[in-house]
Amino acid sequence: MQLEPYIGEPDVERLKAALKGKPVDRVPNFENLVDDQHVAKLLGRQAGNTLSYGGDPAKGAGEAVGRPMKAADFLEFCQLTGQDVMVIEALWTPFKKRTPDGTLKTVADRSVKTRQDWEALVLPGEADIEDRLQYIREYKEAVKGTRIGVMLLGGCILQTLYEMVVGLTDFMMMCYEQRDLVEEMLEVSTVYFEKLSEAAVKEGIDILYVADDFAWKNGLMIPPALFKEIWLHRMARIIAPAVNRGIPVMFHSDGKIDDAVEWLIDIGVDGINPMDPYGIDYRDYKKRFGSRLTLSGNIDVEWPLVHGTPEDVERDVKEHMDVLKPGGRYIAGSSHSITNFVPHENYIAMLNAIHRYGVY
Amino acid sequence: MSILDAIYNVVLEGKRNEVEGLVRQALEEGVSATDIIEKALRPAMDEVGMRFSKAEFFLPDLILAAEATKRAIAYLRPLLGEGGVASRQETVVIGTVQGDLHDIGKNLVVATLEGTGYRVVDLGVDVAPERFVEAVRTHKPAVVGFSALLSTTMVNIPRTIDALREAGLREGLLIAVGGAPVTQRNADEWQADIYAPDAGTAARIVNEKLAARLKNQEVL
Repeated sequence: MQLEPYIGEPDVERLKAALKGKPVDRVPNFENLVDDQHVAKLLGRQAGNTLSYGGDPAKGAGEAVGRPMKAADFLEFCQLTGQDVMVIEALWTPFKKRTPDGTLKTVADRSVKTRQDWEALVLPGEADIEDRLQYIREYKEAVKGTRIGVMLLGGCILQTLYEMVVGLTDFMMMCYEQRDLVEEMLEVSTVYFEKLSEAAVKEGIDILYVADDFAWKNGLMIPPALFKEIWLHRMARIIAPAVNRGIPVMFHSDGKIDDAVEWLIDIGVDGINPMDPYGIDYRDYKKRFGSRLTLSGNIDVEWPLVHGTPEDVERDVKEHMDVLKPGGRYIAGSSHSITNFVPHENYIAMLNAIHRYGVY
Repeated sequence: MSILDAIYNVVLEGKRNEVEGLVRQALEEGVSATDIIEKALRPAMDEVGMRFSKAEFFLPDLILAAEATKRAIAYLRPLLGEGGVASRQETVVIGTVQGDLHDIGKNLVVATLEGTGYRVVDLGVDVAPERFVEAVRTHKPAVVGFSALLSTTMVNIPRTIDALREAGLREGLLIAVGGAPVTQRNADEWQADIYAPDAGTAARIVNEKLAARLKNQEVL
């Protein structure tokens, strides 16, 4: 199966318009990540996955890998697939530990269990921000002469703590038993991402994309009232540099986020991703939020993308289009990412169907 | 309020630092260890699991309640004699199947199983079928649990079940499966005995299945 020609060259103004609820020529297509084997098949060469050059697809560029996908490769990927934007990963707060030989190592071993552990960490600084800004400049230079845009993906203030620094069970207990410590850690992350957002906006990013998984398939991980108190005002500060300048903001959390959607709208989020099908009924969300929020994703990675046929994929894309396309505010894509276990023909079938049924 | 009610309440409220004192008090008042477990700790964990499944409780509630129960059971375990509750505290071997590095859901299930009193052997993530086989041979569990978060790696669940069958270990073993992409339909297809849609219900369903099996054995 081959990619079919599509109408409308990749153009970040399309994606920005979709996020702001303005008319577009076709429904934009967007993926958080497309894994390396799909990229290699599209480009005819190894180029890493779309969040990193040769690294862990679940974790983006990170320390072990060093850099995002090379700009020329991402540009060609966008031209082939019709995606309007290149994404620079800056998901995690770079907390570090000093090793016995004196070098700094990013914390990802969930070893911070006490205040003493926390106080031994080396906190993020200007050099960490500059590390990401260099790639924004590289991408901005590469897109000159095209209409493709640059997006920064960051903001995991909560998830960095439970996924990398503390560990889920200990972090959840900390939320009740050591709230002051939790807030202190969140605050350090917030200050880092506030500065990064401000600097990225000044470097000319087109869209700010923030991600922080705070929900599972039944609802929020933390009681909504507590979560709102410790998290929302901080996320508002992180996105403020974009919101205040009218730059579109998209937000990502897996799971059922019902309790938080109105809050996200209130702080200035324009769109949500990935509309996790295990917790979200896209028809319901279209009715409830479709005029105030752009909806992105929801084509189920499990079925049809992994276990279905290309025909199943096409049918499901069409069903989504029938519901989500009218009135705009829709960005089509998978319910998270196109990982290597998605058959390539199903990925291509999804792109072709989006381009076929997405024209206004 | 009776001392058993007080223990039930501190578990429900996740007050893990208070539970040991109340358990000690209950023993001093002449309440048996078996009654503390069966009339306070298990009902409390069942209630916590139910509220979690209904989204009335959240992860901190579930984890703190499991921690409280775990502490209480650790305190009581040496006091439980042959033929008592301890002899029914079965072992559960659990792991995330080969190729899958996700452990959050599995760790929650471990917490609730330990909180309910099971001895849990956690094999971690990316566990090859032969490691499950070896663990079942070594620990002789009543239940072996498989977790998978990815729809591709979940195909390793039936492969591991086959490996247990080929090793002659399937009979008499309850197989439990769970994880985001796993459904009851998958569980039926793989002839698994236990399917838990979430961590809140996992321990309760394991309790029910083991109790049912014990009852059948008694009848036989």
